[in-house]
Formats: sequence, C-alpha cells, structure tokens
Amino acid sequence: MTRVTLVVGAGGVGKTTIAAGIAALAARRGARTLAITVDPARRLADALGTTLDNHPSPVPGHDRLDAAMLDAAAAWEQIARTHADPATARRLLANPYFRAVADRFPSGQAYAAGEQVLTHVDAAGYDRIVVDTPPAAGGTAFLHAPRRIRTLVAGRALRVLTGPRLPGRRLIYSVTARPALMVADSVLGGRLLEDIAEFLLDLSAIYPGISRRSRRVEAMLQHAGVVVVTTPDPGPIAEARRVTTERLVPRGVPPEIVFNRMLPAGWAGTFPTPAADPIAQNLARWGLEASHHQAVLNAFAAHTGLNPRSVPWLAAAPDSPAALADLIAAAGIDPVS
Amino acid sequence: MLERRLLLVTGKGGTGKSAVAASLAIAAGRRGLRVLALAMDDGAGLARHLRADSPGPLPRRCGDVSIALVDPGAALDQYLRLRIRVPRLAAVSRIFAAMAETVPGVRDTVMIGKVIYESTRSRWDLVVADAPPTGQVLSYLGAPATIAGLVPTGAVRDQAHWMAQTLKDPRHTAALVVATPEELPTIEAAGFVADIARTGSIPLAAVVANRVLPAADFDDPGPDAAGPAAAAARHHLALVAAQQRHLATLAPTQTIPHLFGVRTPGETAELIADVWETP
Repeated sequence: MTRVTLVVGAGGVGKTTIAAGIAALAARRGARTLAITVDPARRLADALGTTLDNHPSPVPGHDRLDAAMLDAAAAWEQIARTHADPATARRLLANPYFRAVADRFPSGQAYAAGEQVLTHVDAAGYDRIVVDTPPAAGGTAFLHAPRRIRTLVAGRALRVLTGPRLPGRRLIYSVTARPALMVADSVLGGRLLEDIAEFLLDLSAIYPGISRRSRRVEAMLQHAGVVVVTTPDPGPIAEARRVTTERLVPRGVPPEIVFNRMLPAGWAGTFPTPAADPIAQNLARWGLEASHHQAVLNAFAAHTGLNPRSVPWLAAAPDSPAALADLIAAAGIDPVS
Repeated sequence: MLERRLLLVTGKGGTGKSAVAASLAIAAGRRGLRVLALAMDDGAGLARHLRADSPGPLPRRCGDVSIALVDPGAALDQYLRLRIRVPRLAAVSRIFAAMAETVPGVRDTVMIGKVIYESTRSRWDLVVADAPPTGQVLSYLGAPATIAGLVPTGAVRDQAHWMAQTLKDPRHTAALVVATPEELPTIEAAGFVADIARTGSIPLAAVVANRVLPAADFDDPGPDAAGPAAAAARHHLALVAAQQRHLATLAPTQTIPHLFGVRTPGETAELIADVWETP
C-alpha cells in the first residue's frame, strides 16, 4: 500500500527542499518513491530532472526515485476529460472561467494536487509519495480542498443563478428571471451573468464524478502522514501551531515537526566578547540568535508535546538529492516510519 | 516615500512583508499622519508587528496607527451600495456574492477596490496595504482591467476603469517589493518589477532588501580551525557571500539590516521604521 506524506507550512520556510530530501532518503532506504513538487527553485528542479511535469520521470542517478511537478491547469484538463462527456469537456476547456477556477480558485491547485496523488495511489506503482503542498494553500487548507471543490461545483453560485431546478441550457434565466437578476444584469451590462450560468451548468455536469472522486481524495488525505515545516520566526511558528493543533484533533496521529534554518545548539549561550577580537564578537551575536532558536523550539515542544527535529541554517540549500537526503538523515527524520 | 496616499507592500512569503508594511505605518504615525494599516489576509502578521489585537473590517486605533483588514464579504457589500449604487436587496447581494465566488476577477476587484477606496477618503493621509505575495498581487492589480474587458458597459466597468487609473497614478499610489537576499525571493521580486514595468499597472516606490547581514570584519579562520567561534565565523562568511550574490541581482533601493538579538515582531517593526525617517 502506498504511504502518502504531506509537507506543509508557511511560505518561505523551505518546504520544497525538505520534501525533496525526505523523498530522496526514502528512496535510498529502499522505498519506491515519488516526489511531487510545486514550485521548485531552479537548482532543485535541475537536480530532480529537466523534464519535470505532471508525469513522473526518474531522477537521474537515483534508483527508485521519481519526480513530478504539479501543473494545475493540466490536472484540471484531465479532471474535465475524465468526468464530463466529450462535448461538455470541450466546452469547459474552451471557457475562460474554467481556466480561472483551475488557476486562481484558492483550493483549485490544492485539489488538483490531491487528484494527482490519488491517481498514483490507485496505480500502486509507489511505496511512498511525498507531496510538497502549494504555498497559497498552506496548512490545513490543503486538507479542506476536496470539500471546497464540491461546494464550488454544486454550490450557491449555480443555485442562485439558475434557480432551484436546473433548467435546459437556453432557459437559464429567461425563465427564472427575477428582479434581482435583472438589476445585476443591468449593472454588469450584457450577458455576463448568462455566460457564468452556462459555465456553471457545464461544470455541474462533472459534479457526480468530482463528488465521488473528491471523497476518495479526502479519505486519502485523512490517512496521510503530515510533516510540518517551520523556521524559528514568529509568523511560521504561528502557522505551524495552527496546523499542528487543528490536525491533531481529528486524527490523533502526531505530525513530524521540522524546524528549518536552525543555528547549532552548541552556539547557544552568552560568550565573553573581548573588544579586540571580531571573531569572538561574531560568535556572541550568533550565539544570542542560537539561544533564541532553542528557546522557540523548546516552547513549541512544551506547547504541543511533540519532539521537533532541527535542520541547520545553510548558506545555500543542497542542490543534489543525495545531499538533501544526507541533510534529512542527519536531522534524525525517518522517512519510512 | 510617505507622501503618497497608498503604499502596497508585497514580496514572497517569509521575507518580512508584514514587518515592512507595519514599519511604514509606524513611521507615518510618528510623523503625525493619519495612517491606516490594511491587511489583505487574516491580518495576524500585521497585527503582531503593530502590537495590535486581531483586526476586523472596521478600523481600530492602536497607538499612532489604525489597523483593519479587507473582509471580502463586507467589502463587496460596501462596493455595491457605495460605488455601484445598487439598491440594498438581499437577492442582489447574493448574486454578486455567488459571482465573487466563481469569477476570481470579481473578488480580486472588490478586494483591491476596497483598498483604493480607503486611500481616497479624507479620513486618511496614508493607507499602507499589507498585500498578498507577489504572484497573487499581480492578479489583484490586473483584476480591474480584466473586469473592464469582461463587462462592456455600466457602473461596474466605470468603477474598474477608475480603479486602474488610481493604481497607475504616481502621485497617489506606489508599490514596495520586499525580498530577503536569497534565490527564490530575489527571483520573485525581479519578476514583479518586470511585470509592473511591462503592464504599467502600478508605479514602483522601492525594492527593499530585508535581513541583510553586515560585512565581516574578520578573515576566514580556515578549515582547520575548530570550535564554535570558527564555525560561526565560517557561517557568517558563507551567508554574506551568498547574500552579496543575490543583492547584485536584486539591486535594492533600500536595505534593512539583519536585526541581531531582536525578539518580538513589534520591536522589529519599530526598528525598521527608523529606516523611513532618514531622508
């Protein structure tokens, strides 16, 4: 059975790097592994292979490790082709609103990622799938995406614009025309509402498929392992706390907490600073930072009852999967457990 | 910097966007300006840096500064009543709320419209918006033009046109983009600068490099030197070298130093505010 690991956290904390490292280490330890990345830095993308797209491809020089990059637009195209009849799918794909929903609806990208993961789980080609979650859907938004998508597709918008019963295509609001719609239409000037209602009708054609499928995505995410990445800065810490406590309540399985960009615990403390020695003064200022990092980590551990792992602050993230795997192994993170 | 009516602060997540936005508001408040700090997310980051409680849609005073957030629902309601002059009908509101859910351009227009509207009120000398990360803010900036393209005539189109013009006006509006001297933040900032230069959607006030380390006043102790002092020296030198590389690409117009030993977001924002007081 495929085990899925979601890597979550605030923007800018190094999620992509940590996720790639966990995947590389899992592969090294014998698991057939897929790393799904969202928006890798160029050097990491180069290291994972130059043909990164929705289809997994082997990472050069690494047995058992494949990588894919989330392309939300392509994933939504796949969703439309799978769940709608060919004519409806063609109309949807040509519709500018469909593109907008796929690209810009906040949960759209997250849901597309979940769909993709489920496809690979069903294909059963991997022991492990490590998912780097989209930044805009950080934290638990990712887990809620399937429900949000159901709400969108069969939601309020469609009912309001088309009335309680779904009318035939051309009847949309000539029949259900209510004064409110006429006001809105005069304000918007033209056929905008009708265009949107037509689009929502097409979208509703894929609702049964999406509904079934999104419940499976939801179930899969409920059973996924979670790695929460943070830095010792207040914003990311607040986000990590929120994710950790929200997540702990329904599941009872603790997430793995990773503190990234940590200074060595050995530097913590105050050091004598002879005025003439700039190297000692440099240690003094970094030592203060290191003490603060340890204090923040200890407070987080006390608050959550979890044991966070530390990944050191490096001038540049490692640019090979092997070096990333070393970094994760050194931090004591076990990707197979 | 503080002479304009509206400053939009953006940057990649984790670069200190909210700290910089809060610092601008604090600097304006110290100068005696009536300033509103406006969050376009849940407001938690901005509130931390202004030592304020979680903000709501109504401005609340906190020291020299007022703080509020842009609530899409409340903003939509206000937009319909004040700007479009739609009669206050629950059914009309529902239709627009449904549209705002479905057509992303509508929600974005209402969000940015609320920010612009506040900046034109005589109640404020300056509005500082803690805007979303760069990628998202570009879609906000483009939203009025998108709407103007979708809607052929009417009040919505006129409004969208007015918004686009106000965003473009260099006497009224400017954007600041914040980056830490690292690979991805620098790439995002450069992309933002190139995009607004190409589209002319908003004038650029500053490229801000945040958390810049001081140059080392010591030499590399060499690979054989052991102990924490040598390790910290190598750490500092490696970070400075990497930062210098990215600073060369970023070409910042304003540099904010790494604040050693500063603990709280409130302290951070107050120290950064000093930067905007020196001419």
